[in-house]
Order: sequence, then C-alpha cells, then structure tokens
Amino acid sequence: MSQHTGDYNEILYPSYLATQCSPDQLSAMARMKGLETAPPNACRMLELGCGDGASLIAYAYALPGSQFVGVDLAARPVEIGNAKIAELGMTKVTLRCADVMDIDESYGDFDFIFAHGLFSWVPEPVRYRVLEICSDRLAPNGVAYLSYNAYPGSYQRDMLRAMLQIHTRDIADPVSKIRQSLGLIDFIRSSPFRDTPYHQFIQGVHEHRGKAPPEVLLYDELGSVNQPFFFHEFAALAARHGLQFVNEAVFDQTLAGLPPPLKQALDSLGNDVVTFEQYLDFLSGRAFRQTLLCHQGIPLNHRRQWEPLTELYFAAPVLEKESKEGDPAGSRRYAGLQGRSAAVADPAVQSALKHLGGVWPAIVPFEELRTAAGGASETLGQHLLQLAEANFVKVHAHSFRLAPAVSDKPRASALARRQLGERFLANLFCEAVAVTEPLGKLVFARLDGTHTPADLAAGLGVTQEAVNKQLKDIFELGLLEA
Amino acid sequence: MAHPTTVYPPFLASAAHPDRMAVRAHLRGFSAPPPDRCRVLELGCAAGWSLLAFGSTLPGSEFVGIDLSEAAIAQGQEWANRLGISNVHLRAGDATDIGEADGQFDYIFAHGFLSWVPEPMRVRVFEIIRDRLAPNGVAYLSYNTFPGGHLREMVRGVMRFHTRNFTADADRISQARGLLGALLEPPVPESSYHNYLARLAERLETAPPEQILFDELADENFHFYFHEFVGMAAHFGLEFLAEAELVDFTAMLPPKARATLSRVGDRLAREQYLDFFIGRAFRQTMICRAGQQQPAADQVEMVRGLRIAAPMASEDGQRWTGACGSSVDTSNALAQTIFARLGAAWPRMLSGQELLTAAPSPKEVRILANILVQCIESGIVRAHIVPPAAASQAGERPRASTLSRAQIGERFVSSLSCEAIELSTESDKKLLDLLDGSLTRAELAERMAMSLEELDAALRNFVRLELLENK
Repeated sequence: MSQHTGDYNEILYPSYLATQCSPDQLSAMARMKGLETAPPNACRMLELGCGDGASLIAYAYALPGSQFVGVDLAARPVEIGNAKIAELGMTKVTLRCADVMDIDESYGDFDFIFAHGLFSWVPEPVRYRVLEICSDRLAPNGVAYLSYNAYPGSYQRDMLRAMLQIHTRDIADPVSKIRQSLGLIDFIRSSPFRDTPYHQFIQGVHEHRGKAPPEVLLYDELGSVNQPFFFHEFAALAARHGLQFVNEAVFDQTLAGLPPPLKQALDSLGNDVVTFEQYLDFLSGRAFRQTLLCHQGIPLNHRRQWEPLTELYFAAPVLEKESKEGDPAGSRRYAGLQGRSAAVADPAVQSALKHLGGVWPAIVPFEELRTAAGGASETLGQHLLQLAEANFVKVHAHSFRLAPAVSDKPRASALARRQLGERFLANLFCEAVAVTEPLGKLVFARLDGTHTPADLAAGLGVTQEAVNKQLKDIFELGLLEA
Repeated sequence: MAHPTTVYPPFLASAAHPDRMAVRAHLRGFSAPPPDRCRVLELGCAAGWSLLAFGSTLPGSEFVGIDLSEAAIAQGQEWANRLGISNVHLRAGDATDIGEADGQFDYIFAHGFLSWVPEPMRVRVFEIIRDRLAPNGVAYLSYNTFPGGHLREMVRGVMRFHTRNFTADADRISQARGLLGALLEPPVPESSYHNYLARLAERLETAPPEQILFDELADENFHFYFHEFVGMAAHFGLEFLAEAELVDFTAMLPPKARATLSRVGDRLAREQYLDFFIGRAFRQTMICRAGQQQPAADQVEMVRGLRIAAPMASEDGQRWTGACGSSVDTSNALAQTIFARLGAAWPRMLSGQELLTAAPSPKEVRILANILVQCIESGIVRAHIVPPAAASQAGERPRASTLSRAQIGERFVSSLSCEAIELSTESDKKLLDLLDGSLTRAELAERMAMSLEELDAALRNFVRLELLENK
C-alpha cells in the first residue's frame, strides 16, 4: 500500500463524482429488489478510498440531513477535500487520512458503505478487510457498493495491462510512462489487420481513452495490483463475509435485449441469482461490475419487477421527436436522457412522458406520473421499467429539491459555484455537469441569490435575453436551488 | 500431456521436421546435424503421426517418441509394425523417464505440449533439452502466447464454468459447443468479445470435435509472453534460434510501424513487439545451445549449401507469388530471371550453387543471395538440405508412399515432405490407393474410368502435393 500512496500523492487520481453511489441511487437500486433501505436524506454513509471527497461533498450538499465519512490512505487529496469542506462551512461530511485496515467500531454503523475503483486495485489482505468492514460496519438493512473488474471481459484488460507493463518496466517517471503507454497503443492500432478481435479491442481502448484523462491509465492499467473476478467468485467471497448480492448499481440492458430462447434458458436457472448474473456476464462479455451487497438473511425479490417503482421518483428531459421508419402505428418517439430515444404507443404513457418533460429537471413521484397518465399503474410501471433499463429515464429514491423555475433572484448551488474552473460541477442531484459557454460561466459565478437577470445583464454589458438563455440552460442542468 | 480418456486428434508437426530445422539453423549460421543421419526425440508424441511420417521419409535416421497415453502409443506402434517402419520407437511413459540411457538427440521437439503440462513438467522439458540435445542440435517447442492468449483464456474461463458439473468428455464437448451457440444467438452485439467467439465457432466447424477439450476446456493451459519463454530457455543455457512458421510478419508491417520496430535494437525485443503488434496467441519456436549462431555469416555460403524450389509465377515480372501463396516484389532484373527459372523448374529442385552462377559479379552474387535468403525465411521459396524423395513427374508406373496409402481413411495423408494433405474427393482417394507402383498409366486410367488426360491432370496434382515417390 505504501507504494500506492506514493503514486496517488504524486499524480492525483482525477477528481471523480460517483453519481451511481449516492445514497439516493444505492437506495433506489436496492429498493428495486425489495430491500427497505434507510432514507437517503437521513442516513450515515462511509466511503472507502474517498480521494478528495468529490462524491461525498456533492452528496452532503444535496442531502443535508445525512452524515458522511470518507477514508483514504493518501494524505494530499484528503487535505484538498477537507479544505473545500471548511471553505463551504459543511459540518456533516468528514474526510480522514487513514488505512482501511484501521477502521473499527469507533466509526459506528453505516446505512451505506461504498468503495469505487478500490477492490480490484488493492492487495488481497485489503480486499478481505474491505469485505469485513462491509459486514461489520453495515447497519442491519444497510447497502454496500463495491466496483471491480469482471471476467470474462477483463481478460482483455489483463492483456493490455501486461503489455503496457512490459513496455514501461524500465521507466520510472509517471509522465513518460503514460506517454510511452499511449505510444504502444498507437503502434498496435497502426496494424493493417483491423478486424481481428485483438485489434478491435485495442481500438476500443483508444476510443475510450480519448474521453478519459490520461492519468487514469496510470492507475487503471499500470498500477501494481489489478485483480478481476468472475461474478460467481466475487459472490462467494461476499458470502464468506455474510453478505449477499442485491443488485447492480445501474440498470443492465443485457436481459432486455436477449432473444426469447436465451431468456427461457436463463429463467430455467430459477432462484440461483448468482449463476443467472454470471451467465449475463458471459452473454455481454462484461469487464466491470458495480455490485450492491447486503447482509445475508434479508429476503429479496430478484424477479424483474415494476412494482417497486411505485415507491420511487423519476426524471427525464423528455422531448417529442420525429417518428422513425418502422415505429408502431399510433406511437410517438421521444428523446430522453443522454440522447436515448424510444417509441411509445400507449396514450396514457405518452401523457406521463409529456408531463415528465414539462417539469424537467424536477424529480417527481410515481403517483404524479400516474395521475398524468390517467390512472393505469401497471402499464405505466412496465413502460417505466423498460425506459429505466434503457437509461432513458432516471430513477431516484429521493426527491431532491430544485428551483421550480428560474426565479427573480436565482441562486445556484454554492458547491457548484466553488467548483467553477474544475473538471466538473456537481448539480443538486449529484451528477457531474458542465457550464461550457463563456457567458454562462460569468452568469453562473454571480448566482448568489442577490441579483436579478436585469442586474446581471447590466453588470455584464449584455442583453437580458442573452442572460435568460444562459439561466435556462443552468436551470436545466439542475444547478438552481429552491 | 495426453487427456485421460480422449486421444489427441491426429496432427502432423511439419514445422518440426529435421530438415526444416536444419535449414533454419543453416540460415542462422550454424550447421545442425544432417537430417538424413540423425536422432530425433519427440515429447508427447501421441500416436506418433509426425514421427511415422518423418521416419518413413528419412530411413537413415532414428526417431524416439514418448507419451503418457498407452492407448495412443499402442495405436502408433501398430501402425509402425504394419507398415514396417523400424526406425521409429514409441513408448508409453512419463517424459521424466527420458534419461542418459536414451543417449543424445540431434533434434528434440514437443508440439502442443509445453502449455498443457503442469509447471514441474515444463521445467523438465527444458532440462531434457539441456541434458539430451547434441551440441549443435536444435529443439522445437510450440506453446500458447500472450497477448493473444488472454482472449483464449477469456473463453476458457467461460467454458470451464459452464461445464464444471460434467465429467464425461462427450458431455463437456456438447455443453461447450451448446453454450458457444447460445452466446452467438442473434442479434450478436458488436464487440471484440463477440467477434472472438464468432471466430472460435468458425474454427471449430472444421476442427475435430475433441479439439475443444485440449484448448478451451483444458485443465492446464499455460501462456508465455515471448520474453518469458526466452528467459526460461536462457536459464537452461538455451537461446532463441528462429520461429518455425515460415511467415515474415515484419514484411507485412506498414512503413511507420516497421520504422518504429527497427529502432528496437535487440532481436528478442523486436520479436516481443511483433507479438504485441499482431496479438499473437501461439508460437512454434526453435531453440539451440547458447552461442551457436553466427547471424553475420556469409549468405552466399548459406545459399550454396541449399537445394531450392518454388512455384514462382508473375504477371508483371515485378510481383512474384511463390510457395504458401505468399508474394514478393522485386525490381532486380537478376532476381526476376532466377524466379522465372525456379518457376519453370518447379517442382524440381535446383541447387543454390547453380542459381548463384547466373550473377555476373561478386556484388550481384551477394545481392541475389540476400534476396533468396529473405524469400526462404518468409516461406516464398522452399529450401532443403535433404530434399524430399518426391517425383517431379508422375512417370509410367506412379507410386505413392506406403504410409500415405495406409492413411487414406484418416483425416489426412502425409506427403513426402511431411505436410498433411487432406484429400477432398473420393476419386483422389481411390487413385492414391491404386498407386502401389505396379500399374501403368493406361491401367490406372482404365481402373479409374478416366481418360488419359484426366488421369494425367490428377497425377500432376499429386506431384504438386509431393505424394509421388521419385524411384
């Protein structure tokens, strides 16, 4: 581990906001399997390997009723995070520089424990300790989240990692290590044999790298430990620590896209959820998992079901689009989150989606959509389940409070205003967003709740119309407070 | 190591043929023992398919094979007895039994062995080569390699989980194939994972069904990075000689990648990066005792010592296609002349000495020798120290080898240069069966109900495949 902190202090792991680990999201995905978790805004949460606390600070800001503790072995990121916490006057989030080996009863119990990007990247004794903490420090109905590299897909990552390690073994300087690694990837990509699975994978790595900061390579592929697991191996490890599989942290589309004979074959596995999930990984070639665990003995319902949605909340920036060729008669096509699109034929569901789009970025309960749809619970539930699985609509366990509209004196999240100039801003439901236009940044920096749009326009020497356009964008990013 | 119940499907390790190894050693500047008067050891010989082919074509040499599977050895011995091949000795046993009493071997090879045995046996293989290889001997080992092997490991992990509750080989095979079919049920997602599965399924369509037991379902399937393999060899005083596979991957690289690779000073490191570049999953590597090679040796002398043949053909005089369908571009007029001579003589062998006399000056002799060496190393031109006893014309009473005629009902028959030939038509099988040397062309045509022209065409094909004996 000491070797690790050396690295992590020298070149900081890029700040990362794990939206999928917020108490809101962990609770929503656990509730999908029938686990009654603590309320997201009245809970205690622990993060192992918290880095600069970017996730916990965002959660604490959005969920002021809850308490957050983060632990990391690297001192520098923890100092940076604590300075930000002090500056924002936050009292319910604490980051500690400590070894996970030293976490004991004095920390108390937690409703949610999570470790993102840790489990596969630490030595085996630390992995066991992480599972012990998840078992010992987790409240009776608590949820733990661990992400890790998964087989079979990770055999390909092993391949990349081994080559990069051979290639850079004599290079000490981390910056040259990164540059040399990218050089090797380019060398392989220059092959004329483009369509082999090998070159297809390397090309995919290159495309993926294009989106991520280069220093991620240093930790993800060049770190000294990188241990993937088959899901059944991970589940067995968890079971040895009295923990059982609840759900993945994000909806999985594999099942929805399966041809009927395969669906039937999988259904014949009955209640063996571990084997079922293992075969899903075989089908998709999965390389990464974000798994939720809880104590053994808690009854869970692993059937794919819409009913839990009636207790949850929804958001999506729905817009009606032009129909595509082949869309069913009477259907309308909508765009949802991240450009996903879906054709919906049921008129009641169409009304519900229209309502959801109209109130965006508001997060609304099932009941409100049911009213908009005119009362058909099951049809609505089935459709919402499909749309959630397709990442078209976001499911929440908590209704975050946002401004219902741009007010006279709009006020933006103080946290996000503090983050201006960093890699991302945390919005009020804990997602990483960006204000990209220069005027937008200027407007955003001034949204302390004391200026009217007219003041802002005058102060910046632009038209009020231009300011209003920026305010609308900022509002839709979920950055304005009620 | 042989699988406990299922015998490894017949395989002919042509690349481990003593003459082929001797030629590669010759091109690295050292003189390996004469292929027609040598002792050869094969570890993990199964039913001795390779040794029987080598033994029947090199009667002056002695061949010893060992395999754990008594069933396979018994099968091989039965063949040797039936065909009167007396210079091939097969025995059932553990490779650890090879000792001083077995004497020294000029060539030692193990195909499909090293990656499939446990660690102590891998070490033992290198020990046997260290202890039993003649000073100027050559060893051949094939093994699975990374990086490509990571993809194989991926499927193996999936298959082994799926078949974990099955013990009978037949069940394991059908379960594994069933899962592969299910994973490729349309619509198949576009990913490297699914692409690999699809290619595996394609490969398995033509492979013997039991093949999957030895690859995707094997208990032991150890992969080396090339640098690890040479590191291990070095530990036993052995060093890399060459790849047995006659493909020049460097020639296939785009110019920029070739330039990058040429900046890597060390030959072994270049081989490693070549594996990265192509994603290699398998190697057939020749090794020898450290310090034997003289890579700077005179190429002119090398070519003089070889017999050379190639079906060279060209449409424009610039791009020449040769053996294995590979081609070479040359603007050198002398090389063009030599290629044309080789093409006209094919399948007759010409001596390297004689070919070089066409060059008018010592400088041009050197250039021509260099071109020929490159063509030999990339498999475009075939070279031999001891040429196969194959006929360049069918003759009046054509005769095929006893071994090939005995193999007609098998997956393949062995040619006289010990290549595996799959006979595709019943007519070819029937004709081969008749070629015991007693029948004239006219009698053969009558028995085959063919015209003489048709018979000659079929025989020309056999000549090309090196199935007919030259005396």
